[in-house]
Amino acid sequence: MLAQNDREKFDALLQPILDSAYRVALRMTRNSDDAWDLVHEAVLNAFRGFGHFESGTNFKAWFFKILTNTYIRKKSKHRPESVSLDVSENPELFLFANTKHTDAPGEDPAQAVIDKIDEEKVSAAIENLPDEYRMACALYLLEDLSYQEIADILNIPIGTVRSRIHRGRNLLQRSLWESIVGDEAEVRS
Amino acid sequence: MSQPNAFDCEEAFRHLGDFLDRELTAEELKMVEEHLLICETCARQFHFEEELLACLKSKARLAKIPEGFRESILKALDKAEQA
Repeated sequence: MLAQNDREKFDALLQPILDSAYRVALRMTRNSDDAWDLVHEAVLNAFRGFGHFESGTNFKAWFFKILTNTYIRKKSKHRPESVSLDVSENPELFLFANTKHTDAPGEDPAQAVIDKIDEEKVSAAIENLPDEYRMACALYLLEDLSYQEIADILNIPIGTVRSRIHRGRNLLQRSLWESIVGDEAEVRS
Repeated sequence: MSQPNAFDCEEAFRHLGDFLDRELTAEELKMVEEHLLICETCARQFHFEEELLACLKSKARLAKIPEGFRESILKALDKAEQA
């Protein structure tokens, strides 16, 4: 049973992280309605379990753990998603290696490639990641968390976090490159 | 006292991911930075990866929060508190 002033304490801890919780949920679920529902459900789960939160510890990490657990549980009720990218064949520095093949003008083709990356391309690239990579990368890109903090939230070994983030980054680069090349082809045609 | 030799390109590249994620030990970081001072090719690649990561992080954080989201959460909490 929660004490009367627990609601105030809970609100004070929750309010500063609500926007980032929604953004992480949006990257995980890839859908604004599902992100809305996920955060609502996670908040209620956290509120009901607030008695287990140790005062003075990291509320954000505690809440994000509940958010990801809620997501995993909800997802397991639905059929598995299809993976749209091949994880095994993604060399590092993919974008950098390809900058010379772009239509980018000017003296700095690498910077010109970065300038072509907009919010829409980044969202699409994150959405294309396989689920387990997307969860680690969402926490990593949106929250500046350390490997250890992400490992604690996702309840996986730190080496797995490192590998998902490194591979996820390579997958993101390939996906971004494909959308840049797609735009350039459209302009040319 | 003997100083460790600076990384070569291959060793520096192997530490690229952890370098970007600020997960290197102080000694590893020093070795990478020393290599970047003497190798223009790696310095250019590392700089590109840093710029790209900063771009990804900033763009990923632009997603708009739906109108009424905060109010709806607080309302759901009010309801849960009364239940």
